[in-house]
Amino acid sequence: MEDLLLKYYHKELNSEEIQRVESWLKEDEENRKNYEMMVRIWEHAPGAAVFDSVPVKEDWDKVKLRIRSKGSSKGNGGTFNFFLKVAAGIALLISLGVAGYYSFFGNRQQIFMVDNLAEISKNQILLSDGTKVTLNVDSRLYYPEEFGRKNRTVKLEGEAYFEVHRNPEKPFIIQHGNTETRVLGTKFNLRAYPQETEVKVAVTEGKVKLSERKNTGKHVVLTKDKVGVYHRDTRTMTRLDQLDENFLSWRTGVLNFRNSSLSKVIKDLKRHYRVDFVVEDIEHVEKLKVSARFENQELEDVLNELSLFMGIKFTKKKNFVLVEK
Amino acid sequence: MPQLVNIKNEKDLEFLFTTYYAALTAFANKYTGDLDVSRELVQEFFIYLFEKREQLQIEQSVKSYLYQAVRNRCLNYLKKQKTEMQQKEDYRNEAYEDRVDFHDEIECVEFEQQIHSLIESLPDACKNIFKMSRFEGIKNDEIAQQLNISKRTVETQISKALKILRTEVKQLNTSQSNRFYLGCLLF
Repeated sequence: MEDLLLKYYHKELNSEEIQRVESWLKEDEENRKNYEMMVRIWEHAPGAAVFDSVPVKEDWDKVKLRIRSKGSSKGNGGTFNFFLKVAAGIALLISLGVAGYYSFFGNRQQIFMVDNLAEISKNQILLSDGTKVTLNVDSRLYYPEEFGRKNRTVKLEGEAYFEVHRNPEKPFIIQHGNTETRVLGTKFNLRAYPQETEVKVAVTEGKVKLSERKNTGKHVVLTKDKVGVYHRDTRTMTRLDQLDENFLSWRTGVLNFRNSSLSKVIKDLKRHYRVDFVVEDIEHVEKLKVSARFENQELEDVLNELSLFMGIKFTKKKNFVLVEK
Repeated sequence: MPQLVNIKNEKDLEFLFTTYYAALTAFANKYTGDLDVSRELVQEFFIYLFEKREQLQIEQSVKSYLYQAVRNRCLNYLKKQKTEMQQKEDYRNEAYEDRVDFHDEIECVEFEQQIHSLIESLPDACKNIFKMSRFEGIKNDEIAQQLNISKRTVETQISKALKILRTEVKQLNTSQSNRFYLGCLLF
């Protein structure tokens, strides 16, 4: 019966089965209640997904840091100074795309948050060793006040393009969750949003090593035009031998498709606009081919064009786009 | 019954934070449609709570106060966003504030949080398939293909998940009144 109920809800039963379900529902008030609860859970389950992406512990650490740094500017000394030494790893924080501009100066610590959603060109940071970092929206780079003196270690949440100044003495290390990327001097794109299940490194020049931070020995070494992927859920690494043409679309603003399947297009739009898509008929979508070029266009316009081209319907829901025939 | 939010130190704030942060963020997300913005807004609110801890006196339940305050922050954010983007239609909000009753919405978020923690404790395969279906919106035959199992198995696992979930929700709800009382005592 359990199996039939969901199909009943989705109206996928033949008339004989419908009768069976409906007489079962009438049989007992309890049955009806169970069915209603099942429907309620089914309908609310997608809303539960968001809880997978709220890192409570991590965000508490951020709040704690900000409370304490504010405390110090008002000048209540001792305990705070102690904390500063502990937290020296995060001395400067640059964040993009969040409301407001703050600048708190602690004794030895600075925190900047810059509201800069629109101007990608300004999202560039030049580190003291000559390394240039370009941040995507919703991305943060943390680096210590003493960056470069003893080592070159930073922490990334989000996506950034790194042009690392060569220094064989001091490897440049980027930590992201339980993985890290280690280089001497190269250019590459690193995508490591905490809420996403994959960490992705795409190399445009030189050599890059992606590994787990705990000494598990899991790693991949990547050279030009190679892509390394770390799957957070399975804790495995894979290497792709081809650089996707659109991997830097967040920097260039250009999305280019040459006879690509619609599912590939959707995958890229998902990444580029950071919006989710739900596809109704995946097989159909796999069959459709698209050739198009979009440059700095709003998602809205892109969807309108695609729907004109291919007779596909895009409906914007609360936090995803529904794709239907 | 008026209650005081009595935040004396960081520990008190941490307790409030760990209790309400995830739900408040999910709640905010229904307004802003942007999880990073929601996290930031709620974090700022907690910082505000801490700074104003000596002046704060709340004439309603702690929970309603928290949701109410976060809701106001979201609406302000959206207003600001709208003027900045010259009323450019933001499809994610669809004037969310006008559509839903505030208390229904709190209930909805709490229900979703409850389901989430129950989903997390499902058997692995069952959990995995259910999440692919409901969290990622993948169709049954596609799940079957990806996992290299039959579509029939996918359906059975999803039904199994639903059955476990509804039994557990029922059990939780019967013990809910007790938990609520405990919640009041804590503040």
